[in-house]
Amino acid sequence: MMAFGMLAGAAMPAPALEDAIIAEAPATMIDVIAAVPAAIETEAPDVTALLQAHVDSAAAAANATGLSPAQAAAAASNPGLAPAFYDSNVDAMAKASIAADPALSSVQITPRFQFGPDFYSSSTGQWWDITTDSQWANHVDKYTQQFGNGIHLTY
Amino acid sequence: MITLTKAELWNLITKGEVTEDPNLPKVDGRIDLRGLKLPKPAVANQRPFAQFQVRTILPSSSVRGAKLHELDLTGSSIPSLRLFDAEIRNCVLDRCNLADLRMWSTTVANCGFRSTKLRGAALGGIDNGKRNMFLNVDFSDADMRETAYKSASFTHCRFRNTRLEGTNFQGSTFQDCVFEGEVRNVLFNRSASGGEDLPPNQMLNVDFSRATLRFVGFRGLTLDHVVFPQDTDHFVIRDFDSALDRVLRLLSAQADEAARKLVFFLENERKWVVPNQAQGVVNALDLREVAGDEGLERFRAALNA
Repeated sequence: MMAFGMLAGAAMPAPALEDAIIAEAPATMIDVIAAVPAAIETEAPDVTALLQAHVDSAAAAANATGLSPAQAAAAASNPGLAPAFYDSNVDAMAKASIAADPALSSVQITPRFQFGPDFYSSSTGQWWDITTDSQWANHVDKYTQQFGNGIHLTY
Repeated sequence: MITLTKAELWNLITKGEVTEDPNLPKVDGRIDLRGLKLPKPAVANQRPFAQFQVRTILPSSSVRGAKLHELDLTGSSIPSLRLFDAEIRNCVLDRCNLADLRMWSTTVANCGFRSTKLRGAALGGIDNGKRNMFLNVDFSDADMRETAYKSASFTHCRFRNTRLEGTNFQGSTFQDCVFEGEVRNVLFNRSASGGEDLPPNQMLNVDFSRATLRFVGFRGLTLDHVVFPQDTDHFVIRDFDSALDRVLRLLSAQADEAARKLVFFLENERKWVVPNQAQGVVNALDLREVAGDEGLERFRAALNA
């Protein structure tokens, strides 16, 4: 604990929760407690469309970008690795692009090589996963029991 | 007299509700928030509101318009922080855990992130056309693997023994920056994919002279204001496009396995070389990894032919 004197506005009363909700659009973050701020979030209905647009862009960018130098070094000895590198690049580029999008700041991203769906919302419990059509059923099996219903982001 | 925890003081500072106060505990002139530990934001409760399920997330991770000036946050843990339109000036953020940090339209100046965990952080987001600016920032020994960018501006920044593996800086611009130690599996580009309207990266006065470049790509860059290492591990090649074309012609005429691997590897590099590129760099250890000692000697011979 620390003690000090002048605090500008520290004693201001917090707005009631209902007032805060009425005063602000429901998709915004609203502070409702003075000392320890809370936030209200709701899921924007177009999150899935935004995520899919990032995946589409990532797929195009992965085609244009090709292999990194490290991937090219590996593929020089084993050209069969190229499709796996493409999938990996789509995943990495989509996650980076989504992380950098301010409209998706509340979407949680599972780091690469960690268990879990690619994206999930702590606001709604919704999850999304990037995969090809042929792999989607496997991903449903993998995540549904623990995470609930998911949405397929395809490329 | 009001008594606050460091977490409460942080909340007030981020909301602009703390003014300069001689009674605040200081370290080297900065407000002492060392060891601040904030929990990861989580759902505290939920209720229906119109067609939505409204959940309360505690603590709030979004900070808007904050002026974080002269803070010492050494050793702090602030998970999932979201910064919008913020200013971070003259702050110490050494040995922090900033997992899942994302920032937009934010200026970071005269700060240190030494040995800080930034893996996967989104440092290159753009909001309303505004980039993040890093000015005179020390990232030495930080973990910046897989950090995410559309574009950010790095000026007078230091990356000494910084872990950068898996980072594609996209359209991030670098000026008067220094990289030291191993730089591995990193991409620098002239512009981001789809970010051609942003300022191009020209790599002005970027010093890699004390770095080891392993599988580092420089794409669409003339590199005429870059200093590369001058040692036996790096081939620094002038007039890179014509030199690389000559090497590829010679190696392509050799039909053995080592030459084939080298051609595959170097052609991948050649795609990103710009006409009249002032210089380029090829790491000898990378070539050895691709095609063994034989491949390395083949490359050397072709380069000197």
